[in-house]
Amino acid sequence: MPPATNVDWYKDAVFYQLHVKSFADSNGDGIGDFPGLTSRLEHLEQLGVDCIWLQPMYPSPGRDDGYDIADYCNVHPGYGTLDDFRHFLDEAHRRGLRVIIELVLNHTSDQHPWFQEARSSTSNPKRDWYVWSDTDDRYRGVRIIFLDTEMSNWAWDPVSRAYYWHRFFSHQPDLNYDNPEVREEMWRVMRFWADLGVDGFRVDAVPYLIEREGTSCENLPETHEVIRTLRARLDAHAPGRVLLAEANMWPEQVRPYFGDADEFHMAFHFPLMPRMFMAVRLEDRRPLIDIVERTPAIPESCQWGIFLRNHDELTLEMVTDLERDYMYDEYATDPKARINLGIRRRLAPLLEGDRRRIELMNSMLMSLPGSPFVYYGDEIGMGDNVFLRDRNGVRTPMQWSGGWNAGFSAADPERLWLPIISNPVFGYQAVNVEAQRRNGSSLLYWMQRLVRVRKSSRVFGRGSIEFLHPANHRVLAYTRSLGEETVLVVHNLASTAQAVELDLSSMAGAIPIEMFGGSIFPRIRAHPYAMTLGPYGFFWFRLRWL
Amino acid sequence: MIDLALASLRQSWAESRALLAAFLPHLLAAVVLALVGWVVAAIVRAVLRRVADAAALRRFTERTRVAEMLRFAELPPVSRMLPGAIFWLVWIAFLAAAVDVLVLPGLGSVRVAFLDVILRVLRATLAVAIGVLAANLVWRMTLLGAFNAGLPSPRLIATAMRLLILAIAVVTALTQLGLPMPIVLTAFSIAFGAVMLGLALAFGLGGRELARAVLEQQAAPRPDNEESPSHL
Amino acid sequence: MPPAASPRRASLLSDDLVQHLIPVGQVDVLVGLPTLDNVSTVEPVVLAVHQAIARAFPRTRIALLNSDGGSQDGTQDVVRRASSGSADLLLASHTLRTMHRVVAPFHGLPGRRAALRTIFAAADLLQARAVVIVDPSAVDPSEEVLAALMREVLTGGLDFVGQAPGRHPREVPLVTQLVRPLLEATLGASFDDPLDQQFALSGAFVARALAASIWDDEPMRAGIDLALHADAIAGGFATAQLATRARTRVSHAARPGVRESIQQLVRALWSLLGRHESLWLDGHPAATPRAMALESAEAASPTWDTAAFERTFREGVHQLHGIWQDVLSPATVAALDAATLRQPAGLGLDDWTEIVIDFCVAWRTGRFTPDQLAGAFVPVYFGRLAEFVRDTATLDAGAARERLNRVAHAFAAARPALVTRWMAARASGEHR
Repeated sequence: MPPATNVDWYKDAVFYQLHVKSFADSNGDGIGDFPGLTSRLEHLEQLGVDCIWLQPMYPSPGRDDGYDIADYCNVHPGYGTLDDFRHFLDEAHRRGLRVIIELVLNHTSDQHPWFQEARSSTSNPKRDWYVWSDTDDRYRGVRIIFLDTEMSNWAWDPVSRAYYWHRFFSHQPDLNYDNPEVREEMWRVMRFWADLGVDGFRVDAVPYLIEREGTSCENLPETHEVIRTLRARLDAHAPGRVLLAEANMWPEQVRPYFGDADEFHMAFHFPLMPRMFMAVRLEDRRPLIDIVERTPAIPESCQWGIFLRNHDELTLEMVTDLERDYMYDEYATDPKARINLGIRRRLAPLLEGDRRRIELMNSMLMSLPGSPFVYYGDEIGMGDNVFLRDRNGVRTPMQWSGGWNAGFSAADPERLWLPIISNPVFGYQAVNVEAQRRNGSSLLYWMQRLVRVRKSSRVFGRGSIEFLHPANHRVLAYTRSLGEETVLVVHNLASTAQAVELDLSSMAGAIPIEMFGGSIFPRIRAHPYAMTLGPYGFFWFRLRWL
Repeated sequence: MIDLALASLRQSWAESRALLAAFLPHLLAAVVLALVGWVVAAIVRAVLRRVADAAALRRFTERTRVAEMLRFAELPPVSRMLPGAIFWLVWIAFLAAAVDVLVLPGLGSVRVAFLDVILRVLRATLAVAIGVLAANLVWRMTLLGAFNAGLPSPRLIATAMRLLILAIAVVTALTQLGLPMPIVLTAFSIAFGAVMLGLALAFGLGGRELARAVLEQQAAPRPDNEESPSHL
Repeated sequence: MPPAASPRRASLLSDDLVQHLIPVGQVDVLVGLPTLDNVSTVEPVVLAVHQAIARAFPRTRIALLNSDGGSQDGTQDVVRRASSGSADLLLASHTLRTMHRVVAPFHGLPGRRAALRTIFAAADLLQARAVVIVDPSAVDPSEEVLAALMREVLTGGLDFVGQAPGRHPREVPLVTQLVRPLLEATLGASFDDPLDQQFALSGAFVARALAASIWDDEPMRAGIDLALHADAIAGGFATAQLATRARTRVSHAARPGVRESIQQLVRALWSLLGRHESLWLDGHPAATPRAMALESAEAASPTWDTAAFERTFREGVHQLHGIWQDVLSPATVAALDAATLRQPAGLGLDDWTEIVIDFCVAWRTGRFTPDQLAGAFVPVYFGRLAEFVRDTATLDAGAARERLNRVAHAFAAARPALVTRWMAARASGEHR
């Protein structure tokens, strides 16, 4: 087990998000599996991340990338057995890596035995585990999330001749959280995984658990009550496990899900991500400062999860129309790259493979308040494939080497669940772990160092942030402070060299030490501190009063 | 005659009764004032004790070395002394008020004299207390300093210093008590002169040899045989 | 604006020095040379440092920092000359890198402690993995010793490497009769010579030491080397001591006389015990420094003037009458008086340990200034010294060393009494 002493480990942790099926295939069936993942743990240990977030790995018909779960207490047969999972978990813990898994509370697959029983007859004991209605006019006015595919939140079940409620796809019936049996069963599921040793849960689609007539059926007080109860039971049963909320909303709307530190430990900060991309493209710090400054304070033990990219599209829901148009024009000139309200591309292609910009973005990610999430493959600058269905273009197999199937699988290339990226720029022969491990100046080594420097101070995970406002708007500068420690971070968002004068008079007397190289800079005085930065250059300074 | 005697007796009885009647409320008021004063002083003391126990005060006294000085003089720490002193001050203030109430019109000067005496005694006591404290402190410092500096007769030097300081304290106290300054000064001069004369005679006549030895020891370089090879 | 909690200390490093350190940048080793009027010895020391670096660490990033405590004799000029003009001397063996030699201007804080603090702060700023503090007053400095000190910290994984100079057991009696046995009885271990002025430290230890209270604590002003040695032991750091030859040391700085030195040392020692009391009262003995052999040498027995010690002892006990009953327990006062009347006068081991404990406890009660206590301690020490020197006068080195073991055993045996009485003194409400 990793050190269990600090229960708020997630505040200092660097997370790594991965798909089991895209990571490593051990049995040559073209699909990644747990033995494969276990054999690649050394890569994560070397990278220096603290916690793995596994995409859904439950048995599932696979109509929503695994988020349609057919059995909560098992793993997908394609990924291995429960024993394989146990072995993976033990191995990860042995290496000091924690593991959090997905938990879809809101709905199940329509193939789940519970739903099969529930629809079998109106008198079945499981009937009330789902939300049924004879008509489709209850909860009128509740918004439909997947407007492209769904006409209504109600779907007709020809077997039991009634409508059932679903906020997502019609093959994902919502569970009825007004039924105590459902709550008890979902707690049993959490306990099952917690007892196995899982370090936490990333809880999907949180706001929709409870329905009430005359409301939007989102973020209801009763939903918070369900979360509070689960949290209290988890804390009592297995302290030190983390609950991470997925709620693509404005930070002030997400804030209630932290409760009084009695609901979620963590929640993703969705609007920050597009603004980092926007700031770099605009060469202007304004969008970024705006969003950070409008982020409300959260309880001491809580933490934001921040990320550059994930398994979904680069979502543009949390931006204005003006901003969205700008983002499309700058980052998705090819219409094929657009999906839903976002852009289905990975980090490196979004930044045109520009190493300096990739480093700049990662520097912001690792130094802004919150715990950073790295999406698998982004540590080596993997590319994507916009010609694949849905968002599968950013879920292609991990590129381990320049060999057969990029070292991902021994299967015939045609059997792979998704084709490997093979273009000359981002293809596996140019971009892979093995090649980067052999090259001391690779992005992978640089990321490794970045993670190490971030972990050298708790100020990044726990400190306060204060923005500086130099006249040069292309320079994003802020201090992070925790107790006696202060770190000054300066970013040049522009593609050209910039000079800036920073007003650091409140830190007069301090000597800045550059954190990546240890170089010493002249002592800060009451007068403006002049600095020059190369294109997309950045500095992290530890301030010492010596 | 008897009538006259009776009348005067009656009159004096009536007078003393009237006097008593006039005096009793004052007495009562005075007693009440004294009691209330005690209660108020006790409350102030209790509050002060709590405050004085606070770490801030302790740190303050440590930093200003007040605590250290009290320790050498073997006095209780500030946290205990201060509340006690304030208690007495408050109560004495109330007692003075009580006396004020007690005295009848025309007796005002008694109260002034009473307060005056109290203040003088307080000042004299303070002078002696400070003197004793300083004398002990200086005695120890001089003794150890003189010994380790290798001076002759450290005890003699230290005792002389102690007596000198005590004498100054006593003179100050006497002056505070109101003894006329010239008398005190004369007495002090005579005593001081006698001591000096005695010393001069002792060194000049009886102790010529000793004095020479002392001076020689001072002038000669200190023997180095304590110093080497090296202790540390 | 960072929070108010930021440590806004007065600058430890002058602007001038920081300007010199900026081009140095991150280093692996910082060699610190704290000088104070060492003009006659410092040149060979600097050359030895250069030789050690050139021979043993030609690839390592190393800087030499001379931090001066206010020399009046031109020491700094000699260091500057020796550093810059040494190209000829080093022709045969040179380093690959530019080696920065920084002479820190005097920063207005006289003394060795201030000089060391400057070196520590500079090492912290330069993120040095190892710091070697070089003794500038050794007349025959050894490059092998310097290289070994460096190596053990840089590659040996140690945090504090001191020296165990091969002295005759009759030498440095203040260390052998008081400092070492008392440290062993309390902390559980001690360096052979916890006052030695040459040692090597890890970056981690330097960072910890820099944050400790030893730099502002008045009694530690003259006991900084003792404090560092003891902190390494008490802090659970990985320690070792290299057996070396004892070196003659020459310094022109105005040094205090022996009585003043004794007082300074015991004040530092008591302060040290007070600072670590929570540690040693609990009774978890610290690990003994690992012994490493480097040089071996037979030292000659020193000659002492016992009569002078006896005189000081007798006279002191007599003159300071009136102080003893305040400091010592009645039984100890009686023993002390008896010891002065004996012929020859002197303090046996049992009386000595008892008196040392009495003094420690008296210090802990806080009823005396440490200055006064230390002043009263001087004649007592001479009493013990007289006895020890006489006792070992005719013994060979081995037998004399056995006497030192007896001292250690006596102090170890007295530990329970010390702990009990120290705790009682602490509980009596007074505090330091």
